[in-house]
Amino acid sequence: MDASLLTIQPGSAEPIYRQIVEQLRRLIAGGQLGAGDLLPSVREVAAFHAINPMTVSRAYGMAESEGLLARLRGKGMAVAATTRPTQTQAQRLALLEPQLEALSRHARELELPADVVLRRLGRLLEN
Amino acid sequence: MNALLQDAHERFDPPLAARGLGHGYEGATVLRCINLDVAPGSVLGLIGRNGAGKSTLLRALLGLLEPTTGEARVFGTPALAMDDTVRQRIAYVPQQPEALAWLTVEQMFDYLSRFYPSWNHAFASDTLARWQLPENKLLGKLSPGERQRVELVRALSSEPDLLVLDEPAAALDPVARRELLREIALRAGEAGITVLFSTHIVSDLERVASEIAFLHEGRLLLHCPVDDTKERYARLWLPARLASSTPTSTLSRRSHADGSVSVVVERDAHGRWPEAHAQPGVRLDVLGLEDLFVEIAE
Amino acid sequence: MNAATLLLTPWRAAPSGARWMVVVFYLLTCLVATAIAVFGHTATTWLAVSLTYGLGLFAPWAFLFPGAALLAKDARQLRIPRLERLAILALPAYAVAMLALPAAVFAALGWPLVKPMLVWTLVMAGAFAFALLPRYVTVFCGFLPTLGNALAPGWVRLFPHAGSWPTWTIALLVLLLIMIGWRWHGFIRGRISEQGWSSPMVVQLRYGSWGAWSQMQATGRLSLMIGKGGGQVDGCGPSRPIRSLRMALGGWYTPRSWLHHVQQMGIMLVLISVPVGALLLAHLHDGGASSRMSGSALLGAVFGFAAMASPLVCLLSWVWLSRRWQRVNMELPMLALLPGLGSNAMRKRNLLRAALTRPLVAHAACLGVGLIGCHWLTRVTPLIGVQVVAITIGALATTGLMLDILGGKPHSLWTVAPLLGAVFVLQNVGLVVTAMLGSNHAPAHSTTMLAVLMAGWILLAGWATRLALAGWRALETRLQPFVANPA
Repeated sequence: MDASLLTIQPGSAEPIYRQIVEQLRRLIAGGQLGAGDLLPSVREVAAFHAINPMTVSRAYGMAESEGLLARLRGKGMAVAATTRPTQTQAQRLALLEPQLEALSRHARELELPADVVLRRLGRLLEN
Repeated sequence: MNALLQDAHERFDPPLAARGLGHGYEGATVLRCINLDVAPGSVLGLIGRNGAGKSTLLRALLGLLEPTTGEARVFGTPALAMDDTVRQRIAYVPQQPEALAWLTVEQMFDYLSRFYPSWNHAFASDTLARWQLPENKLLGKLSPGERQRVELVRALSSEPDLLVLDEPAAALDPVARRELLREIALRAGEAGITVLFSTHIVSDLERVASEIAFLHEGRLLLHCPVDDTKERYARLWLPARLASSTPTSTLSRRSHADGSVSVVVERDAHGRWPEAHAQPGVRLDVLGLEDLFVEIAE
Repeated sequence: MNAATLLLTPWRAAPSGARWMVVVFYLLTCLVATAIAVFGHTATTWLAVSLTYGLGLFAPWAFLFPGAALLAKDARQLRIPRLERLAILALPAYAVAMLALPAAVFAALGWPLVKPMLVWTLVMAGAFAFALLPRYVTVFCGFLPTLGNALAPGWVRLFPHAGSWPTWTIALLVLLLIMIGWRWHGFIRGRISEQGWSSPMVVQLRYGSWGAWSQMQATGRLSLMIGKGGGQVDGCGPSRPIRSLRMALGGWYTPRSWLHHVQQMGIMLVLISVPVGALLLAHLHDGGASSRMSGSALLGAVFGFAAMASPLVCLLSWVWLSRRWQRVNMELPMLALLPGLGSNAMRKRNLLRAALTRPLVAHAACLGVGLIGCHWLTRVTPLIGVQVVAITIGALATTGLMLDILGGKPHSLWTVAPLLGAVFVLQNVGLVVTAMLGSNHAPAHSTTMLAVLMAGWILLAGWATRLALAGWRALETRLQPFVANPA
């Protein structure tokens, strides 16, 4: 993988390290990155995007703890062979937390009763 | 043993520290009781409106002016009484530098390199060539952008442990700015140097800064890791009927014409937003750095 | 466009300091001229009045009205033709007014009219040309009287049929007007640069009193240098802190190569050769008959130089250093953070030596020139004494002013101007008094005058010492010496 595959938007309300993790997650889910693919080094990413290397390390660390990436001795980071089983259900739910928070906030702002929203959500999940 | 002690001493002394730093000119106060510690290896972006006192703070931190109150320390020694071993470790580029206008670029580098034991000649000549800076032109005849680039190359060539830049990007074009940010970011990440720079271009800061400090009317309003600004602070908008239930501890407060109020709030120790955000009709917006800056500085 | 706007235009185009000084000077000469007219009863009163008024005309036409050229240029660049027209029309309007009013008075008194008016027009055109011509030409303007004097006898021989003076005055006037037109045309169209030695003097008005000169100094253009920078970095470094500091102080402190010094000497010699050549010409011309006169002219030049140079050294040192110490983005932060210059105490000591040596050497050089002048006089001891005392006080004033800058207690022009004025006046008075004492017919009150002079010197020396001590103490309390003085 090349550092240019990532896009960084410094002005966005989402911190850069989260932007990186989010993109890795999508790239892996979408199949652009397969298991065992090597990731660019922290330095490469930092130099390409002119961002602080510590931000990149933080993103890689977070992705590693989520099980997206695995550290290979002497080679750097690579996409983990199996991502799903290493994560408990609670861990996976935690990933959804920001979206759930946003959803509940919007629902409150629209003054929608909880049961209506839940029913609709349930139907979406079943499909 | 002594060397060990000194080593330990140096490791724990922050590159820059201010205690109760205050300054004023002719009755006008520019800095009010600034307390600041810049951790080794961090890239601290100092942000504030024009006239907020950013340049004065940088100069006070480096002992370039005599503060009216308080003290600044550089690597543990008082800024006004630094010795040469500390000076070797610092590089500073003022806003719109104009020093040594009567020398050519080459002469200036020749002159300064004599004083810095760790001067990187190869880096200097490479970067001057890469940034298309004419070596045999008089400094006084360079354009402001060229002049600033020369000073930045000068500062980086002395291989400093602490780099202080006052509005480094103001006179640079986008490409040169990106190059500078890259250099700062990599040096901080790899050589572990500490960088303090002031700016009002927020996107630069978001790229390379690890920490951010807001200076407003001579006061330090906020000093935290740059990611925290996006995760810990948000804008809370309350309609007119709820204006009275505004949280008490807010960073800024603005009343709008229709009676509604918007405030900048912070998560508490458990990561929760203030109570008010759960009420119907209240809106909570996560802010980018620029919006946060505008909210606080207005 | 009404008359008021027309008349106010050049007024608005000049910096406020300059315009008041010019107006005061002009009105003062008008008053003096009126006084001469009222109280003078000789046949040539009209001549005295017209010459006095002519003197008064010089200031506005050299320092106020040329501002219209700047205005016209800016108006042209901003595409405001009306304003440009206004700036141009204001000049003949003022010229006519300033000619017609006194001419009317002369006519009413029944005095000759044509010659005064010719002289006045010549003065106005000359002053205006002075402002528009390149700086390197105006530098030579100072020598024009000497040159004119020297050439005057030869003139008739060269042009025996030149006719009476109105003829060549008109010729000169036409020449001046052509030059003004040519320079004006080039300037307002931007063909003549506003920087460097070929820029017209009027550019000075853009920056207030010192601006343009000090900017030229800062960019190194004033130092008449040839080639690159002229500064010599070789030899700078931690082992030679004073030389390194001089490099960073810039201007006349900059260490330079021998080649550069030789070039400078060459230029100086060319400059000096003009008046000396003029004197020599005069000397050769009348075969030694006036050798006494040109000898005394040379002596006067030497002493005049000595008397002018010492306060000038003081003023220039003060201007240079106070500018350096005002700016926070120039050499001060660089020097404050430059390693290799030693402890703070050493920095202070070396800075003092670097900053003061040049001005003090320059003062000593002034003394040297004065002493050379003494060589031609018979009773020299009092004159030497006066020179030594005057220059010592000048040096003391320089030291005081510079210490105050370095100590963070800089003085404004309001202190510096009276101090330097006093130095200048006392130095000249000293020269006059000793000249009178030395002459064969010494006036009766010469001892009293000497006593007054001494008292003045003591007061001045006390003042300068006080400044120096205050500056020294302030510098002692500073932790590091490279702290800018806020403007």
